[in-house]
Amino acid sequence: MMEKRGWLIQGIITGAIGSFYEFVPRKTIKSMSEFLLLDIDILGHRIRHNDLILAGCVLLIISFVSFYKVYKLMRAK
Amino acid sequence: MSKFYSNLLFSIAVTAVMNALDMMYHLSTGWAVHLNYVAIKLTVIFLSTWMITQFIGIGKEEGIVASIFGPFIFYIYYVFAGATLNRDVFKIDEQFWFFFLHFALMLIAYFAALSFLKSEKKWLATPGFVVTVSFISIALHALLVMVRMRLQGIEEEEATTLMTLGIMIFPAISYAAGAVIGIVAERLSGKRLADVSSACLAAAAAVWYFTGEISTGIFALAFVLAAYYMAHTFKKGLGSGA
Repeated sequence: MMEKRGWLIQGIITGAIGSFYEFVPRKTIKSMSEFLLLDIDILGHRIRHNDLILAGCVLLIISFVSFYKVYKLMRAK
Repeated sequence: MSKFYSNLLFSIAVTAVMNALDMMYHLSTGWAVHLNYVAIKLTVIFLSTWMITQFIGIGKEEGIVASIFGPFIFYIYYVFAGATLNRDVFKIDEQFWFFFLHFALMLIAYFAALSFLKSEKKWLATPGFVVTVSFISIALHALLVMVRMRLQGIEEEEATTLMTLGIMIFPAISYAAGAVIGIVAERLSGKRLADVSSACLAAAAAVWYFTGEISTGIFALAFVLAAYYMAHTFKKGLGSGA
């Protein structure tokens, strides 16, 4: 099972990537690099803006749960 | 039985109940119920509930946190995602006040499942069980209706227009009545099997009668069986040590 530091690192990384795709406007991401928009086909399905937003939500959920786990571990000590 | 599986079933149950309550509210107040948005809501609510259940635990605090966090992330999705339905025609639950409604519905769903899971008092556990199994069945029924429309090739906006309270109200009453009949049958006979079988048969017969379709009645039977299986399996897996 992951230690407190592991949960914290996971929370920070997923929070940073999730927030990037969630809150940064698509135009800004495109101006940084088109590659970041993941403009590709996966199993015949084109990655759209809303797919990136959903992926951002998933990463934010993972991030939040990681921070909540850190809080729980700190409180348990 | 692995704890992972029990946690998974608990989270699916909470998600299904929350979405069924939400769908019934939307249908009764004239807000659109659209398969794509329901799918997103299911994903976000399920993932929040499952991750908290799996990695942190099940309890009152966890229930409140999951009830705040799931609907909040769903609200964030609405704010930043592009619109797929014409907002001039359809009313979607994207306003901020819906966060409070989703929070309340999530609390009901979580605490119904929790009271069935942990409460030793029958007067608290039994309503929790009825809410959990009947609304899981209602959620599965609503998904069946929406997926059928999609498979029939009905346009998204037309399907949203067709999804009304009239389609769902009688099946919803049938499932709720089935769950109550099941409990009464169990009390009278003292056998668990009487509970499941009478609930399944009563709900399936009522759904068949109201919809006039035997296939929907058979699906109803399967939905009630699935709901009972989920509820009893997560209780067996988590009830003692969770």
